[in-house]
Amino acid sequence: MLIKRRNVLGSLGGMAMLPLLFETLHAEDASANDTILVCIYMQGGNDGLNTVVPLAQYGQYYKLRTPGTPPPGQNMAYSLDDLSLLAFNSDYTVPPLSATEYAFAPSMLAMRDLYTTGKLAVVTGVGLPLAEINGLSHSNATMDWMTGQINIGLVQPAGWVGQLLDGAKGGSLGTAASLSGNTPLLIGTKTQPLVINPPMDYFGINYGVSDDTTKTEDFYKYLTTNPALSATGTADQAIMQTALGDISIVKGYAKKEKASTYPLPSWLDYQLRDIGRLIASDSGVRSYFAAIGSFDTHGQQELYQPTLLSQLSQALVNFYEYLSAQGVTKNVVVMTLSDFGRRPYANLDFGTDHGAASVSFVFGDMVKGGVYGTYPSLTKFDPNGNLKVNVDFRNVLSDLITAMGGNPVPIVGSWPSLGFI
Amino acid sequence: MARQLLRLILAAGVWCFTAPTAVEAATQPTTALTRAQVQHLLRRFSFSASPQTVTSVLSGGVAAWLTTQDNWQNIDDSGTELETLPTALVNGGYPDWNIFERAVYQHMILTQRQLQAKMELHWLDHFSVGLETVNDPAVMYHYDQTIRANALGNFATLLAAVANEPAMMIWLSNNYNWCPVPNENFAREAMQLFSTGLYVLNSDGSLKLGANNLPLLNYSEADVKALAKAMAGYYVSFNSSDNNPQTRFSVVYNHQTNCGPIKYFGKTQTIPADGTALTYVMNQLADRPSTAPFEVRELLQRFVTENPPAQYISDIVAVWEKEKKAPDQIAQVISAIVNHPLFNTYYRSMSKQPAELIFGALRQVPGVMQATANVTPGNSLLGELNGLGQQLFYPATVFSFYRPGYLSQLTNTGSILDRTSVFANITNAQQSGAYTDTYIDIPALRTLIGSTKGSDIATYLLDAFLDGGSPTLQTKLQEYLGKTPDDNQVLGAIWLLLNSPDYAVN
Repeated sequence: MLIKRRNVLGSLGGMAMLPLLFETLHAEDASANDTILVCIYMQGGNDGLNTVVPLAQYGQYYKLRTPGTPPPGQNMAYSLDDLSLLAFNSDYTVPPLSATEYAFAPSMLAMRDLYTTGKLAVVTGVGLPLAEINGLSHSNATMDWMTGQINIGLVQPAGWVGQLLDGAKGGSLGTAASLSGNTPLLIGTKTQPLVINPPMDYFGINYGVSDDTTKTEDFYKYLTTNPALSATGTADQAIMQTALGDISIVKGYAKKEKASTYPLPSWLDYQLRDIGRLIASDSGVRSYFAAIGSFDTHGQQELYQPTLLSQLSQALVNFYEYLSAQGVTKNVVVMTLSDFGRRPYANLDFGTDHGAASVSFVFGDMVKGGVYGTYPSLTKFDPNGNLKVNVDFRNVLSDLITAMGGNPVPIVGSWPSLGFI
Repeated sequence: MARQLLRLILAAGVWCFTAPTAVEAATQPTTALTRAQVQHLLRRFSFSASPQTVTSVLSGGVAAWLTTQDNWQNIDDSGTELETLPTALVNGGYPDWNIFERAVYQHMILTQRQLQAKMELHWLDHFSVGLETVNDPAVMYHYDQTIRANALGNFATLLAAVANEPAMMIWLSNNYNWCPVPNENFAREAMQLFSTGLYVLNSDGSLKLGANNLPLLNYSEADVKALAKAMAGYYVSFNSSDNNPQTRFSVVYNHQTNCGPIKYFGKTQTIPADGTALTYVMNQLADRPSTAPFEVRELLQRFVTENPPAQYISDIVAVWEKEKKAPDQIAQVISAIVNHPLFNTYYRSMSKQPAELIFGALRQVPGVMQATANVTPGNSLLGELNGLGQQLFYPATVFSFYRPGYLSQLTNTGSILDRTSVFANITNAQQSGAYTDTYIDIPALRTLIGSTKGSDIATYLLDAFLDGGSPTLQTKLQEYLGKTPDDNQVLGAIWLLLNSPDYAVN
């Protein structure tokens, strides 16, 4: 008989070293509501300035994003004409042609449509505190976002969602699932995420050529319980057991919610389609992780970032439309996170190097649409010449943890609500 | 195309040994080398080996194996490229990315220069470069050849060679780096990823803390900007209509005179104007105090343990520093790692990378790469590695496949299940109608075992894949195989062992 997920995975590896205090602090809180959080990681450090353009500072924006004397068509600064249909104000009801405060990048028409619904929060000036920005390391910045902590010199072992969900009630697949393969955000003291490589229809074992599959299946099960030769092997066994137990459940959900008409123009759509199917199947998973990238646009940014932003925008629309058709949008919140922003100024390769403040999006029925945080000044920078961070990333996480029914204080510290939920 | 048998068997003769009880044997402090210790060594510093090779190394000793491998120029490497390179890469004016990629994988499996090949994988991870961005297989081939040639050489030489490679210039934007607004990409990563690391380290790899008890940074943002200026002015000239893979690209240097004073690491620098700026800066980075512990720690993390103890780091750093100017510095460091008393205590303690899982399967029992009307030998390796998420030349991040120290996070439900499909392909392809071109060669395997008895086959396979395995597993596998198993039963047994949790551990 296979051992149940929670019994096995809780004992794995270094994760078990965390104080159990955390679990008891939020176990009850985390299961107090049924909010489902979908985190989308914009890998590589997204350039917030060319994602949400501050129209009120357009002149300075144009100067910063015009490197040298650019050849025709290669200026990194978007023109006002290009931005006019994507303009928006803090008041989401203001139509684009009347809006004067901000504009989404021209490839983000779908995001502009989402904004009109009043369910999209745009958090500006968000990022890491200055002490961490000094390093501007992808690795450190990412781990900060994943763990909800400042990891200068030493990375914490558990993700903030993983900590939140430790001890929380989930379904038969557990409480967390990654569709991108990345798991640091979802790993907790006890929480071990399910990883599905989309599409979930193929989540299963390929037994190869054996004449007697039953015999081979039995042997495979034996391998998951026969004492392994090492601790690492024992940890792998636990994952094998979990996978074996989850196969029929995942495949059952895939059959039940086929989503055959779901548009799949990008890899993010594949991930969100499966997340949508798991949500619609009432799987009990409380948090999902997906990823898109790379936004690490040191050069030729115009070739990459607009496409990725278009994919992100359209994928959010596709996801919401699917959830709406299934009648399950009510308790779903989507957030985006990215390593850091980029330098205010463009380099001569028409790219932007690592910087500080960027933007995050939070979307869902329970979200109060609008703009949050203060857009960084384009003339007064931080000591490293970067866009100043006006909203600590932990502040955003704090509001999301609260929305999940948890207590943010032990995980990310105490922060005033930004008010987007 | 002719059938290409993998050259897995060293000349050494008869296979005979007593089934080992592996864990104890490997970790016991003993002057006599055990079979398990040799298997441990060959898993870590080669892409694993057949039982015959293990026997041969056990007989000759680790020192002799290291000496032979360090002198890789003397090891015959003919027949390890299945296509004519680099000509085939741009044959007919149509660059073929797959040829380049499969050539690297084929070589890692086929070559007897196994230590060099394993180090090549390490440095390809360390100095990861993306093929999609570089966008030319001939440039990538040149890069890989440079990495391979310097893989066991001197670190400063390797670092400078990598920095001067067109592939690296394109990947980290140093080919479009001009004053007065430089591209900082390469400058930052040259320090953070390739040499010193972000934080100042003590010689035992621990963090050096400042007055506020926080780690000290190896460089400031001002250093990044100044270093970028120091390395500005390079450009990769590329002629895509030139079908000669050796001449279709070249590096041009235009010394930048509008950078202003360049001051980094607290000193105003005089940057050479003759095109050696990159080498000048890289030599400085190789010489920084944190470089030795940073690089040594990463070597230990990739080859020995993800959490190397301070003493191990410190001991190896001493060798790194002592041999800093030696042309075979890296080879000497590897020897010191292997000969360190702690090396064998990490027997079966790390997860394998996908390349190790797949290449090892094809080396521990005979693998074959065979062409058919529809497939090219070795091409399916691309799909197999992709299936497990490790395509060396399509790195997911600047950390390549994984961040050192976080290997275990790559094992999850998704990867465990994907593994079953990859191993099904490897143990399936010789069947009628199969599409895979790289797989286990059952006839060759049967010849090596020299017996049709299930018990002998079980013993051989367990030795090849699991250092003998446990007695209960031996019994179970014999039951599975029966008295005289047919080919499918043998392949089924191989599939099972490849998917066992113990095979996945290095």
